Amino acid sequence: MTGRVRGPRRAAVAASVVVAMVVVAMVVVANVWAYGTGAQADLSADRRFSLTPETREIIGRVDAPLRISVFLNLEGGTARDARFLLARYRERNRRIDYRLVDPDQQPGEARRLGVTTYATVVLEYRGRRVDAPGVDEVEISSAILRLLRGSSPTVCLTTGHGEWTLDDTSRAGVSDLAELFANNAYETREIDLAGRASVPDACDVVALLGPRVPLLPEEVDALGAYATAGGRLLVAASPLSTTDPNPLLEPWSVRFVGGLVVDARRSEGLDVSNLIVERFPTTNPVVEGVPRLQFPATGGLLADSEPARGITVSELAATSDAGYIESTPDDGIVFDAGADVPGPVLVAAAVDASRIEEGGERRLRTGDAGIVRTRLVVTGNAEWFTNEFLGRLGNRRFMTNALAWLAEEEGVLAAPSRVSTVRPLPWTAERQATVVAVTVVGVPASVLAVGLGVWFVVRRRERPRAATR
Amino acid sequence: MRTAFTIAWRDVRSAYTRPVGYGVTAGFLAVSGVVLVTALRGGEARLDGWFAPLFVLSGVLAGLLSMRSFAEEEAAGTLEVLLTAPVRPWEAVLGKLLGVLGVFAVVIAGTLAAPVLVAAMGDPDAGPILTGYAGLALVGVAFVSAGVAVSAATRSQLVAGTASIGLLLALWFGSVVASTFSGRVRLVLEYLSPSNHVTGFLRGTVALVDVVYFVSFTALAVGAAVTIVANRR
Repeated sequence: MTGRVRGPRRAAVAASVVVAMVVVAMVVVANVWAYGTGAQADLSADRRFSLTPETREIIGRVDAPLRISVFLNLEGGTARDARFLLARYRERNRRIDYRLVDPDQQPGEARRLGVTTYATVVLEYRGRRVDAPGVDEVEISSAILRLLRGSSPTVCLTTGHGEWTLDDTSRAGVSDLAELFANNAYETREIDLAGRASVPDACDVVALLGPRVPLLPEEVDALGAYATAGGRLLVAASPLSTTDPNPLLEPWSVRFVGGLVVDARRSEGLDVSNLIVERFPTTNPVVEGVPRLQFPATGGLLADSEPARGITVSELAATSDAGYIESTPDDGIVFDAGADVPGPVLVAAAVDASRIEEGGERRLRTGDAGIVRTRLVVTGNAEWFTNEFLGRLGNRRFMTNALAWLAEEEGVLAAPSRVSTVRPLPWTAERQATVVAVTVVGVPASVLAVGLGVWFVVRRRERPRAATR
Repeated sequence: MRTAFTIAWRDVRSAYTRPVGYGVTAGFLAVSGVVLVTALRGGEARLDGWFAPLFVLSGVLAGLLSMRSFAEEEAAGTLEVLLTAPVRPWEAVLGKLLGVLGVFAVVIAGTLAAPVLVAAMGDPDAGPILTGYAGLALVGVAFVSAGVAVSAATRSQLVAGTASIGLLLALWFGSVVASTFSGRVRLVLEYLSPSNHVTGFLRGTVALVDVVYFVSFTALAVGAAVTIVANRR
């Protein structure tokens, strides 16, 4: 009898255990799968907690513990936003850890890391340290990128010829470009080549950002020697300048022909010289992801049809077929077949010149010899990266790509435009009184009043029943 | 299924024909109002600072509401009737769960006054408010399920309530303990803590992993409750 009862019961228990194990296994599998997908929907304004593909790529490259310490006041929305953002980094790579520290509450920790001000972000990775200027995605990711690189390329900016200065915040200035350099982990350095025989060794890239007066012969020689020795040049020529960049460019099979490029079919509004460039003739990393460019007051470029041996010229950007180079814009914008150059007109080009030399870059085992690689990016315009135009169309991306290509960086950030996330609600005495009156008193009191009413009704109904009984 | 709804409706009616249902609702709403006043002191029209404590409070609320589900029947001597009636264990559990969730939903609906008020005074981001309530719903279902399972396992309401709240708070603050570990142990402990799965809802994102976590939490708790009730029959 006992055996007959125990048998089915034991079977039922065994079945329950098996079912439970299967359910638990399914739950574990579902959670591991969901954890691995990283899928999420971002309903926040401007999707500000969706990390860019560049950031995700950078996060994926972190292969050792990376600690982010944010020093700020822990009260308020800024700290919460910082926590939300950094949580996204950790969610994607658990090697990334973060903490928020109030330097007033933990002065010892602040002192240890040499932090004296709020809103300081310290990133530590493989014994190295990089400070980020703030807690937003671009700044954090750029700092991680610098840590991953191990060093920051230096962009040297020539001075002394009326070039743009990085601290000019006017529409015609280039302070946004300075921010782009910083956000993408580039050091910047101004160099005055007058009286110098060579470009400083520290320069990974030399940028001539719109010189307005001619370069001295020794400066041209120094830059030429730098380029020949595997240097990287970013040359922004301008038809509005008296500088002739051709002594620098011609050895590399590119020429600046000046004039004023006009394109009635691809320009903004009625200004036919304010070009909207949509033609990117060659596939090149510099124009990757660039939808369109805005180039105002541009001069034309010419690339040699048969470049010298070892030199590759990529035509980066050109006008439509309707564009042309107006050689005498002061006499009116009318195409003159005899004097003007018909389109499509080249307005940006990239040069890659490689040769094998002793002591060159050695990625392949070729004895002591290696590749000496010269790279140039040339634009016929020196306005496209000013504060007024850098954020237009794909100009920012174009600059970011150009810097990355010149410095042979593998991954950099095209800094997204920043969105104001603060939604002010000044906490006045009147507002406080309203909130207290409604939420602390009004709504709960209403619920209690309804409850009281229901209780009375129920009691009144129950009394006659009790009396009947 | 109809039986489950009958049980659920009976429990919701029972809660709101007696003062205790209104008392709990009004108490929770008053506390949430105080939390709102604190959250808005930052001078910004944002509610993540309000939702965050609300998630913790929802654990307490779930414990208080669910402790009555089976333990009260036990105390009133009606549990035996329920368990011997032609009701399947899962129907009994589902009915009790839906009953508590009905009350929970009424309480949470009362908090809608807060975002409406803030929207009238400022311009809050609607996304995090929507995801905040989505998170609150998921957390509520999961916590109430756990509370019902604990209630099914005990005979005393007091023990059920204390154990539920204790369990949920321990899980919630498990992330603090997790941070003292490293490596895989830390990862697993962090993952198990519900507090690490509400961050996305607070900032305005809904991650698949968080939804799967709370659905899994609910499934395991309901499964445990059904098993306990089946064994008590």
